[in-house]
Amino acid sequence: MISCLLPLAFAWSPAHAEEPAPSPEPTLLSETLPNGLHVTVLSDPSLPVVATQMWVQVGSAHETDSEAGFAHLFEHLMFGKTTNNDKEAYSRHHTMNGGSENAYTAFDNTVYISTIGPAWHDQVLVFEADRMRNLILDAENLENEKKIVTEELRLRTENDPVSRLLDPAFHAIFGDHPYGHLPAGTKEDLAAADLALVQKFYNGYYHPANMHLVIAGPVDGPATMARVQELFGPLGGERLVPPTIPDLASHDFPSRVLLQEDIPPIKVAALMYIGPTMRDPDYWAFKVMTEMLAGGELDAFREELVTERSKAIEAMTVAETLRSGSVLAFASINLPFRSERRAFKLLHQTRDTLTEEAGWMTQAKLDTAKRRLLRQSLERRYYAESQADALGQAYAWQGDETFAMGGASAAIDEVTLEQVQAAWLKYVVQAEPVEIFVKKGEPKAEEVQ
Amino acid sequence: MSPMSLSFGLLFSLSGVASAQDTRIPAYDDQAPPPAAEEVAPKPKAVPAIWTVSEGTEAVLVEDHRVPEVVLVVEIPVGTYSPWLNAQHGVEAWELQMYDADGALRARADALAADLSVYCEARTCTLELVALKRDLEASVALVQDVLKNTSYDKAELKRTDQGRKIGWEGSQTDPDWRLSQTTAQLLYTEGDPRLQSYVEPEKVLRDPKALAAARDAALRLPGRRVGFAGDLTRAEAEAIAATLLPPVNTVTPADLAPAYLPLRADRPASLIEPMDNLTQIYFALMRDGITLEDPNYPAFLVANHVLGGHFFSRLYVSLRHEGGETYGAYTRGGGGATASVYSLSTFTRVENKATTEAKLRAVLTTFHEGGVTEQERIEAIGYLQGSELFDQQSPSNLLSTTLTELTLGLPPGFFVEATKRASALSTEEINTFIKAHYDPAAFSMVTVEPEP
Repeated sequence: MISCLLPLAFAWSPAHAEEPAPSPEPTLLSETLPNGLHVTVLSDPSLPVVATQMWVQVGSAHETDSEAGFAHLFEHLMFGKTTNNDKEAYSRHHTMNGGSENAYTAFDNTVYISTIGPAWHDQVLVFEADRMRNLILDAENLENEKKIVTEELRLRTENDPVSRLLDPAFHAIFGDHPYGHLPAGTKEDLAAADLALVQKFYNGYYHPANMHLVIAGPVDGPATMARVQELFGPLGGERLVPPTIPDLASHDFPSRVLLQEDIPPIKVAALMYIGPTMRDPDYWAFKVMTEMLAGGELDAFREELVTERSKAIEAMTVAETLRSGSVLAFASINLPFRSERRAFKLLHQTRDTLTEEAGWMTQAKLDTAKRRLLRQSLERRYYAESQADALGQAYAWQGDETFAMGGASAAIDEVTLEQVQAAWLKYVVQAEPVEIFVKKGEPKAEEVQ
Repeated sequence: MSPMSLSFGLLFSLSGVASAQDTRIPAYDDQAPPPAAEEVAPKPKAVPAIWTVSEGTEAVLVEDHRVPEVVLVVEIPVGTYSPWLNAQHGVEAWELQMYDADGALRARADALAADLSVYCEARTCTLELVALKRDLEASVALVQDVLKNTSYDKAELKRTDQGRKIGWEGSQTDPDWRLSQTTAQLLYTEGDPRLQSYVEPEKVLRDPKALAAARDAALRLPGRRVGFAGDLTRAEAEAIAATLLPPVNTVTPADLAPAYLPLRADRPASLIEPMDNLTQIYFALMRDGITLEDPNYPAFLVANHVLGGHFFSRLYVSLRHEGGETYGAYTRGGGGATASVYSLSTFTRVENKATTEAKLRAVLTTFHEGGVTEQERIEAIGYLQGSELFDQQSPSNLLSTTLTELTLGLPPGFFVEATKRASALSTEEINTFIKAHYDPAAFSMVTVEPEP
């Protein structure tokens, strides 16, 4: 059992010591219960509401081929009735007290979210522990949720051209990597789900050792931890360990992908590069690099391609991080006359210009990027939900929730210009990007040679 | 990033998620944040201070020293509904003023690690800057220089024009947008400013000199406000507000205010909007909603919450939980500054149209006939009171609420007071309002569905 009580220093580093110290300081309490449930309590009396998040370390990437879309379907079932409570009790508790409750399924995790005034928080813990142990799973409820999720699929992925592109695009780009299918799954996947799979998820994957409970708000840390021990300590069962997701860096990506849909008459070209995981020593340099490129008002890639050269009507840099790796993409939006070959040539030229005339990669830009990241982390202090989200993600992806507080700040502050230059060289200049081309036409997603 | 960039950014975004509830539940007008009552909520952490800077200029401060960050807002009293502003292309003049020809203004914002945004809404245009407290002085100078910029980037004007055109074409394939467009066209008379979002946008004016003149004239209109939130004192805010803006003009144009036209009286009982490539039908059982200043607004808050404002509302229970007809069912609109489209909305698979339409109508009929129960009233009041805590999270939340109240000419604390008034209503009083407002005969059924 690990337990630590530490004041969280929101001051960035000695270099930023002139920042006034916010008050009162929050405190972080962290413990792993004997049944494996990891618990984090951030006590901050300045917050008006309490956020409670249950991070389950199972997402769509952990599904086998025959289970596609099931993590998300199961997330819906978790809002069902239990042996102690009606189906609507959990939501009603939130609604009648002005709180909010929801959940989402991503590639790497499924997360259950509650935010409510402190007077009503204890009952949330009671409900949460109850549904983790006493959920009633029956065929009738499963069939109803299948219908609901199928409507969600139609809404999100079938009836809008850009959304329609997403599923085939991920298949084409990520291939057989577990990120190659979206969390929502398909209608065929949903139709095949049965109660045996439901039980596998509930009894095996929803084991305390696969979960992290995060609480952030104006709570008494030790008292809340004691209450969690009382309510969640009895949870157990036989744990099913989620499969390991291969890092994106080890995956064999196609060199070029063509996508077509009923989009407006434009052409989109993109170069996609694979970056490090958050556990990689290069990660923070890569993170700061993407912030220097595009974190502010001026996107270096856009400025070069659109403003300086007027070779596209719009351009952007997109950076995303997942547990198994990060992605950096440079994209341009072109009028219909632009050929595919020319569009990619311009993207490569622009990338080369950013290497040769690296006006974006200066010490001043580095300092600014660090300052912007500092401000973003400071802003989280206003919102219990943002704090809980950061804590949950840091533990899930880095195995250490303190990265959500001072840890990430310290790591970012240590990044040097030389490290950023090395990251650009390794992850962009010396890397082979996936070329992605999108145009108006009959729906299609295919790898092209 | 432009809307066009955002929509295509989605393609390269890997944060694909699916969630348990449709997050489009919001049941209130954008400009009406959830109200509250002090019976349950603790006292607000900060009380907004409001003072007159000079004739025609008001200031608001929400002081909060938890985080060394400052929010600075300049708000002018005209927006996209103003005939005067539109006549001189004042919207693009305001929204593109941070795009100077050499990008220097945005570079300065980046050097300060500041977020700088300029945008127009129906009744106001706003410049907002968020920066670390230690950069306050340089941030104020940047705001002043943005508001003085005359070198509009011509290339950016051209790109904005192209972006608007592409954005308009893109919206034609969005069924939810088409549903909103159709319901708005049923409610408003042609030429009404509230239809503006649903007509093809005009070309962007590409004359920097004219745009700068339009922006300057708008900035000098009386009724403008300066807002501050975060880590600064009243003395600091007063000093900045005193010198931030140029003097107001003493002569103001006559056609500043929106010219609302009477609502359409010839609304049909039902209307189908056909659309290609659909696997679902989108429903809006709609009428005109009540306004914020309607005496029945507090009763509406309760009624609307019970009918379609939460995960176990009447609509959700009937259309999702009981039969799996849909993923989401909710009310939208109502409670705005002027009459707006108010609807009971949902969507379902094409072959399920009749069942869903019947259930949607039945929910309305039952609600009209029976009203809310005492338990539902109690729970709705609990929701309204408890949710006030969310408005207290950050100083910018409180600043935003205060500026909304001032813009709409509402008394300070209007939304908190509305909850108090709602809390004082009996079930019978609420049901009297429901009997009058939710008459099924007053609603039209609009659907967006596949081309036959």
